[in-house]
Amino acid sequence: MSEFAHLMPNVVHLGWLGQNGWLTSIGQTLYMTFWAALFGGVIGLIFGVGLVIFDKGGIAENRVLFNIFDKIVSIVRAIPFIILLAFIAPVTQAIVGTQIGPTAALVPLSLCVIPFYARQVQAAISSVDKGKIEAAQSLGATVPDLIFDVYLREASSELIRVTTVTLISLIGMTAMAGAIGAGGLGNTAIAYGYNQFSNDITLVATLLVLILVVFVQLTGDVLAKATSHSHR
Amino acid sequence: MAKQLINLENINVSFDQAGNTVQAVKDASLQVEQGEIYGVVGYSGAGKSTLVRVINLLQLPTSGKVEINGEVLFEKKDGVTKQIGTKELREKRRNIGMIFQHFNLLEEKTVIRNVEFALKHSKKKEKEVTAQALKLLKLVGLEDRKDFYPAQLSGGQQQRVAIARALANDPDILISDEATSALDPKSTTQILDLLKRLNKELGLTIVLITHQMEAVKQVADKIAVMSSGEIIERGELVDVFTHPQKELTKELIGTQGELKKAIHLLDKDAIQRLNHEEWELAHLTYTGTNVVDPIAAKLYKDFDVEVSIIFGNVDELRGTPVGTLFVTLKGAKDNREKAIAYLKKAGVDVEEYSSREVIA
Repeated sequence: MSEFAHLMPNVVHLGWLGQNGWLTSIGQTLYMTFWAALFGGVIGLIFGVGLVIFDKGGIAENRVLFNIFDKIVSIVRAIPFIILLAFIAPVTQAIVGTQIGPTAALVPLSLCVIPFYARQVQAAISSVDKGKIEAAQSLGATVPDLIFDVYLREASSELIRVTTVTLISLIGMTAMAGAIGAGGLGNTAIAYGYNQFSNDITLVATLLVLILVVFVQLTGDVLAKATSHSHR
Repeated sequence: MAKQLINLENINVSFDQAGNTVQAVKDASLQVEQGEIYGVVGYSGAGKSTLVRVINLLQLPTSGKVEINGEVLFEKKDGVTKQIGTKELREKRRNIGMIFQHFNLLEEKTVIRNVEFALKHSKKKEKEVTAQALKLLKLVGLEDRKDFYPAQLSGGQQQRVAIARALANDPDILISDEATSALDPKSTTQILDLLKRLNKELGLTIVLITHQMEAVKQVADKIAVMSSGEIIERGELVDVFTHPQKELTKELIGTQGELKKAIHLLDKDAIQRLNHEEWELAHLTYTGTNVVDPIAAKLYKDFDVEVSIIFGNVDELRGTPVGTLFVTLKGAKDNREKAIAYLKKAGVDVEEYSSREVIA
């Protein structure tokens, strides 16, 4: 251990706990990732499904709703995250009562996940064979049946894959949010590593993010494979 | 007369494609009686699939009337549209099973869950649903595969699951949209036999769309021929096959090809040496097995007409053997006329091609 302390004095100096401790920042990154994924994911999923079913030739074709969904997704997606972060600060203030810290970051993070995930979900469930929809309709299936039993179920493996992609991209965004005071591993890497010339801190923070990303990717791959029964 | 189950009247369907209006179905009417197997044939793009999708309103017609079992599901005449509600339509659809070329099973559900999916809105309890699904899988001979996923089954087996699923709600009608087109010959025969059996045992009315003439030959009672969105010919299977009226029908059932083959096989040199007036080519068609008399011998003995067989073929149309013979008849014109009259009286259908026509 002393050898490690000798090699990476700043890393050890930050300690495990406390305001700047490693466990604290890991916890903050996981906190932001989890809640932003949950809020943004649920709403993004709804948008993604909406984009497919309301589209021309969709199972609940509705031009007005489609255009609303499509425009919202396109516009929000076009705003770079770092700008969005600053841009919606007043909204964040109104919702969570503060503009800094991990909880405040949840607002822009979720907002950013929504269009990203919506487009991914749209692509994933569009890949479901139209013939399956038609067959289900010929059996008298309702719109909810078509959404849950056909679209979401048949695309489940593909949905897990795009969820993995979204999560990884979200982890990257939490690091960026860290730069403006949201805490987490990104904040540690920049505020204590980069800004204070403590390269050992930057290195360890990067490795921890990397481990998290690899873990998410591997879990996603395993789950996607386990869910798929279409090629055996 | 059996009850009319499907009545499509003056159906038009048009699509907008990149600014152009494409008329997929033109003023087509189709009546199918209870217990029939009705084949709809034609080349790809003839509008067959579009027309039958109108039956369960998977395709809304641009105009026309759709009547199933005496109930109007859709009617649009002179700009006035009548259509049953979404909920009723869903219920009606459960009375019209449908199977597809690519089976369209849910790949993430097991075989039995696929069948149970069709019963999701039935009034039955869960146990009864499972029992019904098992009963149907037994009917198609796949109860031992109930926990398999579709991808683990062969194409023929998947189509049988699709049939079980289509029959889950005890429908009166089954629409088969190119259901055997993606299958190998053996599976095709199995599926067609199954359809025939269901037709007999359950009294199921079947509308069979296909471009495979072999399929309709095996099972259909009646057929309609479609081309560019129109029904150009229709009737009893044997009638249409033995007396095709339209060129396209002849092409589809292969008469055209056979004639070409016959002409090709003729010994041109030997023929050239003969007087044009003394021979002709004849296409003889006969149904049933009543024509087993030694025709050639009879024509030679009684009419002094020499018969040379170029080639022959026996087909089976729904169990009725239909024979085809291409022959040259040599002899004096009067004698040939008498011989042909004799053949016609004996129930043989004769189509004559004069020597000039053949040489040209």
